[in-house]
Amino acid sequence: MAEQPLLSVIGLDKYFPLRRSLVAGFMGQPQHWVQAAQGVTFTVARGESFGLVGESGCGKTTLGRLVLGLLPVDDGAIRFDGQDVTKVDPATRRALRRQMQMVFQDPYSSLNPRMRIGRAIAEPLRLHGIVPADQVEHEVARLLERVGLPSSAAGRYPSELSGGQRQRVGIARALSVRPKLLVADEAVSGLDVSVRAQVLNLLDDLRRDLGLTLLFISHDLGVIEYLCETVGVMYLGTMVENGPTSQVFARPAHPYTRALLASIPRADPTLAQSDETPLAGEPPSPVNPPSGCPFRTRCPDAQGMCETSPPRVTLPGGRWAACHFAAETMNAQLQ
Amino acid sequence: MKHWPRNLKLGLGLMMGWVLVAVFGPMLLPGDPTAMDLMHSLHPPSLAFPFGTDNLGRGVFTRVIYGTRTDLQIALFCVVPAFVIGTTVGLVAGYFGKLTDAISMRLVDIAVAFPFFVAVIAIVAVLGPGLKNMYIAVAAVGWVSYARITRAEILVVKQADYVQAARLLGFGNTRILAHHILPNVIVQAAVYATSDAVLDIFLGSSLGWLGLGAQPPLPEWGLIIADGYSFVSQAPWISGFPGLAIVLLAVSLSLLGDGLADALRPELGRA
Repeated sequence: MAEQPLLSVIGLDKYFPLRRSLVAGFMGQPQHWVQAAQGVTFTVARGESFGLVGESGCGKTTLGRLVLGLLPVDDGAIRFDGQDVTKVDPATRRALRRQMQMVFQDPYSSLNPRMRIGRAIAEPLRLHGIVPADQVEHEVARLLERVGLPSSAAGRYPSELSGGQRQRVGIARALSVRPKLLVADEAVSGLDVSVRAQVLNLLDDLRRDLGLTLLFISHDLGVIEYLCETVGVMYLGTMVENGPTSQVFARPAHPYTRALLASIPRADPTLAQSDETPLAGEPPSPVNPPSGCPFRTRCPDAQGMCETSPPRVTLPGGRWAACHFAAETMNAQLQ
Repeated sequence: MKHWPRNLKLGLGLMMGWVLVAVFGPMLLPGDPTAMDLMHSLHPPSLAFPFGTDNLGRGVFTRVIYGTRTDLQIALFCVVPAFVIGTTVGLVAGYFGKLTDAISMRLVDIAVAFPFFVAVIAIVAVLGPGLKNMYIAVAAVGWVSYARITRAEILVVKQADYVQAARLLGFGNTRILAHHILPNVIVQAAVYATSDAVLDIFLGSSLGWLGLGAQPPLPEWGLIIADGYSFVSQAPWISGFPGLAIVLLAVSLSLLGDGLADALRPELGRA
C-alpha cells in the first residue's frame, strides 16, 4: 500500500466577498464574490517538494494561507497527516497547525523589529516546552547554525541583518517547533540573485536532512524547476496541471502551462526563441470567471466544447491536466 | 540603544532639570509662595526678588518654582490616565476588530464631536472647579486621541508577517498583543503623549486663568499669569516669567518627543 500523503487538499473552495456599498445592498444588488480557489485538489507526499506556480492573482498565495489555516476555508477538506484540519476540534487543530510553518516573502516584515533574534527563536521553544528550559539557549545556537548563521546573531536586532540573513532567521524560527511541512510563499523573490541560490539550497538541504516536506509557492518557473520534484500549475483559482516537474516542463499537457513555459525569457539571444505565441492580454477577472474552462478566453486551441467544464485527464507518469485535449497537447510535444 | 539622538539627550536633560526644580526647588527657597507682603508689592526684579513681586508682594520667583510642582503634576495626571485608557481601547478595538471596534470607534466619534477645550470646560463646570475635576475631565475626553493613534497603528502591524508567524507558531492572543504588537505600536502614542502634555499644561494654565483649574492661592503658572494680567503694563514680570516657564517646559517636552520618535524608530538600531 502506498504511503499516506502528508498533505492532501480535496476540492478546496475559497471566495472573498467583494465590497459593495451599503446602498447597493439595500437596493438588492447581488453580492459579488472573488473566486480565489475553486475545487483545488492535490496531494503532497512526505519529504516531497511541491511547487505551486502561476501568474500573480491566480490564487497560489491564498491556497498557501488556506493550508496553513491563516484563512478560513469555505468548502473542501485539508487532510494533514491523516486528519482533516478543517474538521478537528480547536485544540487538535492548533497542535496540527504547529507542524506546518511558513517562510515569508518579505524578510523585512517577517521579523519583529523590536525583538532580538535569539528571543524570537527562543519564544516558541519556551512556550511549547520543545527543549528543557536550561537548553533553550543551546537550541537557539544550534538552529542558527543549522541555517548558516553564527550563533552570535542571537544578540542582534533584525535591522542589523541583511535580507538573506533575515530570511535564514525566519527559517530557523519556523524550524524551532519541529514542523513537518514548510510553506514557502515566494520565499526567495525578495532576495538578491546572489543570495537567492543560497537560500534555495538551504531549503533543499533542510528538506533532505530533516525529512521536511516543502510547499513552495512561486511565479518563477526556473526556481520551481530547480527545487521542486512535483509541480501544480494554478490559473484563476483552479489547478490546471499537476505532475512531476521534469515531465510537466518537458511536455506540458495544458495549453496554459505551455504558454507559461514559452514566456520564460531566454538570456542567450543565439538560442532559438520558442515558436509559441506568448499569452495575450490579462487573465479574466476572478469575479466573473469564464464558464467552462477558465482558460478558454486566452487559449490558442480553444474550441466549442471548451465551454463545458474540462475533465481532469489522467496522463501517464502520475500526471493530470484539466483540459479536453490534454493527451493531444502532450503527445504533440513529442515531435 | 547605542546612539541617542541629540534631541532626546537635550529633552531628557531639560526634563530632568524640571523634575529636580520641582522636587528640591521649594526646599531650597526660604520664602513662602503664599505669604503676602504689601510693603513690597510690584517690585521689579532685583537680587532679593529675582523675578520681582506681584501686587500682593509675593515673590514671583518663589511662586514660579513652587508652580513647577503643580504644572508637572498637571502634565502627568492629565496624560497618564488618557494614555492608559486610550491605548488599551485602541489595542482591543484594532486587534479584535468587528463589533468591539465598531462600538469603541463610535464612542470615539461621540467624544471628538465636541471640541476638546469646550468639552473639558463643560465637564469641569458641571463637576466644579479644581484640579482633580480637571484631571477627570481630561481623562474622559483625552483618551480618544490615543485610542485612534493606537488603533490605526495596529491595523497596519497586525497584518505584518511577524504577527502571522506568531500565530502559526501557536502563540495566544495575549502573547501576540503584548510581545509582538504593543512594542511596535506604543511608540506613536508615546511621542504623541509628549505633545499632549504640552497641550495639557496650556489647558491647565487656561483653566487656572478662567478660575476653573487650580484655585488661588495655589501657585500655578496659569494662575500667576492671570494675577499679573491687570498689571501687565506696570509690572510685566508677573506674567512674563511664568509665561517663559511654560514655554521652556513646552520646548523641553517637544524635544523629548522628537528625540523619542527618532530613538524608537527601529532602523536606528543599525550600528
